[in-house]
Amino acid sequence: MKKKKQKIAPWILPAFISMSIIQFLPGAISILMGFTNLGVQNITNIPSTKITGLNNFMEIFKKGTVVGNQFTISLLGTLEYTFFATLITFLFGLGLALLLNQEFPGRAFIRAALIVPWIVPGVVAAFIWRLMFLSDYGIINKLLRHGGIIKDNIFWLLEDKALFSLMIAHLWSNLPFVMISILAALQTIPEELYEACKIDGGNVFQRFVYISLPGIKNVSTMIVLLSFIKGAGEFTLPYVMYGRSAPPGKANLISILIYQTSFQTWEFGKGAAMSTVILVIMLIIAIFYMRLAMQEKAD
Amino acid sequence: MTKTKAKKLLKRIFFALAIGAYLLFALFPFFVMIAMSFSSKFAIMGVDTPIWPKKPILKNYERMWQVVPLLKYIKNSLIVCSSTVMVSLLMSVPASYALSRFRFRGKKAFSISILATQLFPGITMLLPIYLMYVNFTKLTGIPMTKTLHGLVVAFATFGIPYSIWMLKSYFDSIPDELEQAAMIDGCSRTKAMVRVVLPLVVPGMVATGLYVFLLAWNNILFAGVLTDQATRTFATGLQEFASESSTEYGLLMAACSVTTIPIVALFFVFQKYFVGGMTGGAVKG
Repeated sequence: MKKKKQKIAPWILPAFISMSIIQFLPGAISILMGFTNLGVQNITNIPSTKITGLNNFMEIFKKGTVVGNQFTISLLGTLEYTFFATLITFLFGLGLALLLNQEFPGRAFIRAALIVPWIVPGVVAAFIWRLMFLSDYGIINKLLRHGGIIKDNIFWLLEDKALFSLMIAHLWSNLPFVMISILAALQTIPEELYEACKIDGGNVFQRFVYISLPGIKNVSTMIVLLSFIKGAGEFTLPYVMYGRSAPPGKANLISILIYQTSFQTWEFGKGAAMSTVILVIMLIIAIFYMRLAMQEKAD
Repeated sequence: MTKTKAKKLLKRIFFALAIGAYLLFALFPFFVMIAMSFSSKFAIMGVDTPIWPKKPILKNYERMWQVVPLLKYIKNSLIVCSSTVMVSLLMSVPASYALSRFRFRGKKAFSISILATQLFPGITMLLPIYLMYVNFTKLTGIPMTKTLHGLVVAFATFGIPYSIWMLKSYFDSIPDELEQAAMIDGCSRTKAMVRVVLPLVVPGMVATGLYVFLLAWNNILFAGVLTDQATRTFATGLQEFASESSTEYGLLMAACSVTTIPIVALFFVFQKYFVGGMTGGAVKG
């Protein structure tokens, strides 16, 4: 067969050009903005913008200042939130997938019912949880009071409980996807493997470690990365749950802080500098994580 | 004998409890949404009122359209989201096909950079896009912020890369031999792709389109900053039920129910198809 050289350009150019305009260019601009004093006064007057070097970066990392404190707290809060939200979602998702991997009456219906939270739009979910977590007439406190578990209302949305409440809402929305993905992988493992392990005297635990775990490893690598990305960029949940007020302390996740800095106090330079810091941190974690995952694959 | 029986029973009880507990966790908030949508303000704010109201009312479902122009917002959302899906698919079908089938210079760099853009929080994209919009308008006079087309372009920043990545995995699952055969029969590459391969990826395109649609529908970050009263989308419009002093939870939950329940019902009907598509990308990826 004669090999004709295929023209690639017509296939790839539309996507490449549009990606360049709406992704690569803004990405570059975002990084550049961090080194300027861009703000409300010169946002439509670019020539008057001054390059301020590393000023923005020094300010957001400076201890003791308002901006510096806010940034450190948000950054640590976001890391904590992302780590624990990913962890609990994965663990619960794995447990549920293992349960649902067994045959039992009504499985199809229960599986479908468990996916409902995933179908509920994120904004709606955030509003429902806000209503449930309210202190005086929130459903959760109502139930706890009725059950005699608490006497005084718990302030779920305040101070140290805020991050925990966000994680519960995150868990609710994200558990179905993790569960279904792991379940799908579990169901590709041939039954014979388990049988063989049973005959060789493997108990439940050994069957899990030597057969189930390797079978879901690839999916798990992917899921953890996706959860991490989702958690680190979380905006809808805290933004909707706190309405017009800023989430307290660590719950003021980094996306919210960048939003406040850029679109409420209109300090674009500082907001962009924060974005760049997040970009670098996420890139490092992602590369490190993928290396680790690849290495394990090679072993 | 009895011992193993007892053990089995215990296992069953544990199993039922675990599933039951999660079923409660998964469905209870959904139930709360529906219950509150039928509750008066009194029933919601009461300290000892039951969750399901003693006297369910339909007033919330009537009043919500007047308090907030929901119909207009839903219309805006439908226009913006379906345009986003169309733009995204149009740009990404040829590109994802090329990424799946051809070898070319810069292929790896291109696919990695597409993936990398998805790593970063949406807010990091919003700042430069806003800046570009404002200055574009100043230079050309074409309005970008506070317009529906501006929002579509902004939504394409996640729609296109997401579609490319997902569609590529669908194209990958279709053997290359199909086009080879068609090309031996005298088809050109383009013809072979359109006639033979494309019909086979229609389910994949539907699934991809649906996800992009939902992502756009749910977005409040871009939509919140880039719209105004006239172009507001449904997801951002919901926040109007929460005023400075109080939140109209009854109306809010009614509005949420009206848009959520049809989706959930549809999901139950098309359950099998949905679940397959939802995990397809993750498993293959």
